[in-house]
Amino acid sequence: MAVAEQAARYRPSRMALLAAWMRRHRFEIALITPLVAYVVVLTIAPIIDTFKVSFTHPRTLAFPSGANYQANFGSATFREATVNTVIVAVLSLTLELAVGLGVALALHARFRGQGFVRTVILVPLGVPTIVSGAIMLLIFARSGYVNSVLGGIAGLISDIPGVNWEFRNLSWTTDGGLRTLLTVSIADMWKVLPIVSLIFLAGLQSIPEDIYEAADVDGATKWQKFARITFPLLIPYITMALILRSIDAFRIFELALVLSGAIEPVLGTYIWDRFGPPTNDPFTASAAAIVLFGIIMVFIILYLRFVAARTEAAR
Amino acid sequence: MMRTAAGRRDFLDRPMKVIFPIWVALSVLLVLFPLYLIFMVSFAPGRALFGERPDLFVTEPTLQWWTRVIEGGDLVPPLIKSLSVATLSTFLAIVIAAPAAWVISRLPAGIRYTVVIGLLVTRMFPEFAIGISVATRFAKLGLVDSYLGLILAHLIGSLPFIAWILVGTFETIPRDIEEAAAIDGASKLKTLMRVVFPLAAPGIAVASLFVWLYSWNEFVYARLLTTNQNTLPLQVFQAIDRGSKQTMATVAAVLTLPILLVVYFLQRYLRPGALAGAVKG
Amino acid sequence: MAEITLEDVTKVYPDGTQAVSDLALDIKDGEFVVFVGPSGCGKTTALRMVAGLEDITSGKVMIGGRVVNDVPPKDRDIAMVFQNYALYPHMTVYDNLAFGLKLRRLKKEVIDQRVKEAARILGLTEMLKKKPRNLSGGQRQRVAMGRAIVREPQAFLMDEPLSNLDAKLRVQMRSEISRIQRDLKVTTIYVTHDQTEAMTMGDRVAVIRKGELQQAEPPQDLYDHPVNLFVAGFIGSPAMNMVEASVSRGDGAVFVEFAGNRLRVDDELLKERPGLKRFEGRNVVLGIRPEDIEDASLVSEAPKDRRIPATVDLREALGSEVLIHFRVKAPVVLTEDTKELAVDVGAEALEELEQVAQQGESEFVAQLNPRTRAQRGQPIELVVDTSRLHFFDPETGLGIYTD
Repeated sequence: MAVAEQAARYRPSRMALLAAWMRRHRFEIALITPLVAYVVVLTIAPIIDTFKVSFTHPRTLAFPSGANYQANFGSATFREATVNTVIVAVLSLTLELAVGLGVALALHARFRGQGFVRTVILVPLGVPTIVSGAIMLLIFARSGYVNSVLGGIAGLISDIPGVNWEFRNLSWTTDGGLRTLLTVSIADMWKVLPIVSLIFLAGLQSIPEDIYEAADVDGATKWQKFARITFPLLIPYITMALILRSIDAFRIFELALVLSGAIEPVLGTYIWDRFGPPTNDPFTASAAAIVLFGIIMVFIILYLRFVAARTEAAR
Repeated sequence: MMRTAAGRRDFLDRPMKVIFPIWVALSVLLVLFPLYLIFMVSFAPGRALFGERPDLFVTEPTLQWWTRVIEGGDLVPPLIKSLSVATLSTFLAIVIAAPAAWVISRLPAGIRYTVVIGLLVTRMFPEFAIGISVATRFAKLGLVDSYLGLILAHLIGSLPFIAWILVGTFETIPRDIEEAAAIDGASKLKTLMRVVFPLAAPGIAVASLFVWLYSWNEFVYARLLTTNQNTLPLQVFQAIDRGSKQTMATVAAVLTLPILLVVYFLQRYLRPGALAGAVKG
Repeated sequence: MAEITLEDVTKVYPDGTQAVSDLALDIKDGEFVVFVGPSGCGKTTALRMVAGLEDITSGKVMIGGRVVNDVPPKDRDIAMVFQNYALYPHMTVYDNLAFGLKLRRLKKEVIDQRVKEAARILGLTEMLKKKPRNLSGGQRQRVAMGRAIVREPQAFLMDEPLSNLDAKLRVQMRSEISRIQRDLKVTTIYVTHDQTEAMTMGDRVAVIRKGELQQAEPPQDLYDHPVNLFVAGFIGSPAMNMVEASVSRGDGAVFVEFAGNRLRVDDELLKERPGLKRFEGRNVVLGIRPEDIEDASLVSEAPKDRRIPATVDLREALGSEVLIHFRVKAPVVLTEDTKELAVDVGAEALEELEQVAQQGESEFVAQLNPRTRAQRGQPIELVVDTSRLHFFDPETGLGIYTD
């Protein structure tokens, strides 16, 4: 008891403690300040700014005002863009995760030339988005390469007596609709393949070999091993990939700009159109940007709530 | 049909043996095809590209597009701008973020977690949400069309990313090494420079590569903040806009070439184990 | 002069936990003092406060007569050997050793000479060009020591340096460290949780428990005259047997009785423990070390008032001795001290202790001559060396010595 009293006597005030702490850690505080200052001034402040602008009436400058949001939601282009954004994001995410998982599984196995394949997989990382968009344009154009290949296959199939597949060049990007959005998703998937498959590969490598050996001893088939062991253990990585990618999937811009352009707008291109010449309207653009932000947040929260909670319960 | 130890039939076994190599080959092809196209188109004579079904292979390669692009001044100036901005912004990003990441890695666990999450959250904002305000602000400050403006804009995206990766790297350096250095007589600064940073060098190298690539490929801020001198990505876009496939492919090839070298070096360091550390965090 | 003085040193963490309380100790120049105690008792915290790696909440630490409370570690002229060695992985052994010296801007020749000398003492000369990852655990440990030696500091501070080594290596390194310390005559504070290490290495051993210093004396004194139940139970392996006994006087002598056994306290012992008089007619905690119990058939003089009958529960043959476990029908001593000692062994030990306590019995261990015929399940007559009994106040846990 005497000791506790003594301890109380010796415990200085909170403020004094804080001040002393700061004095002693001058060095660390100096090191971290530039980063913090930068983030505050050039990330947080602009967001708040955009937020404010989105609620500012374009003509009267009254605040707060829902005029911009009204204008946006009243515009057919905006509504279309919003729907398209969600569609593209969902398509992209599905493709990315599925193909990424497949590629990761392939990379995980041991085979000759493994190192080569792993290097090759990294290539899309090195190709600028704009460039991949441009190339996809070439590939999916009416007189593009996909059509070439499909035409070639149709030709081969038609060689089989009795089968006649007439293949007319499809327009992938100019007709609009789901096909166009699909091209955007495919382009996105290509670009992102290295990152997603690397994340999954890391996940696969973190699963200890002995679990599979134990499964073998227990008599599991390949499919069972995948479904019961591999997949469940990968879920944290899938979550990570999903969150990481969904943030970017909704923000899709360059690819959409190049591939779907004005025909199928997404929120990214919509904002671009509003903000740049000739409209030069930061108000509706800001409002649209905030809406996009909102969609991303909602998606993440929903996902975490729904799926992550489910896997917790399952465990 | 292979049977498992439990006597069940493993249906997937035989098909897998066939599917697997096909899948690997297909993946490689799919990944490489667009890349191949970039280079092929830049060397292809005009005829090969037009018509109903363009050729997949070049029979008569030509250098005409390359010469045209270089002589037209459409290649070298953007190249220089992109190169300078990327390198400078990477350097600045490391200088600002690495020490800060070290500090964050030494914070008590709860606070550290919050800070790292906070950094990640800033990445969630759509580029435009920040970009609109920054572009307007920079226009007022006269930072449009300048190297400095673009570098600062690129830092917006790269700082949180580098900090996030490097916090993971610094966390792997045990604290008692720093204590040993302190007892050996090193000031905090000396400890950082002589002990911590050398040990973190591989992680810093990887982070730098990522950031350099990001800046090299960056399009949005470049467009928002440039009126006169294009960066390479802008140049590519201009070519697309104008509909000249070959010019576009040529500039794109230049844009892509150095990065392929970088990616080759990346794969040496980027063993998935390194990423796993970041993922777990 | 490199004395170290701890004056009422206290450490309270911001969340209120009290790690060290009023630790007071004077360490003489060149002395080897061991801080020993169960995990979490504050011994490492105390060491780190001397090193300057932890703040001192209150009290003073003096090195060489100088108060160093606010002096940063690098200016305290001390060297530390860490539990995990903390070698610089990217530097060679040579550079690891030279690092501190380079920082102090010593001349290259001086550095070279000191590094080579330390390497020679520790047998590291062949490894100077290697990097830590290419060294074995034992070699790394020696590099860690070398780093300390090279600095020629006023004091060595060692934080459980041997705990990561395997048993045989530990024994070997123990003597090496002792030898080096004696040759170099550097004041040393050595922290360990292993009481064997403490006893074999220290000039003085400081037993710490829950942040409080229990006793700081040469090993033999700690063994012969433990100041309380905790020290008695902590020092010595196997641990001292403890049981509640009643003290009575009769036939001109003092007796202790427990579980139907009646032992006569040696007159010589009585003279050394006059305080026992106060407990006549009352209960005390009786402590008997396993090594003070012997097989009666192997002892020439075994009068009745020194014998206890027992049935062997468990027999462990160690080669040099035989340990037997037997039950004594007297309640187990369950005090704060004994519970804490059990916790230190492991959570299961505490459970076991409480289980046995419920049955109203205690478990004793005796260390017998290997020629004993003791067999498991068989009864045996044991003789207790009644000149080496220990007595403790059951309420305070303090040893009973003087009036």
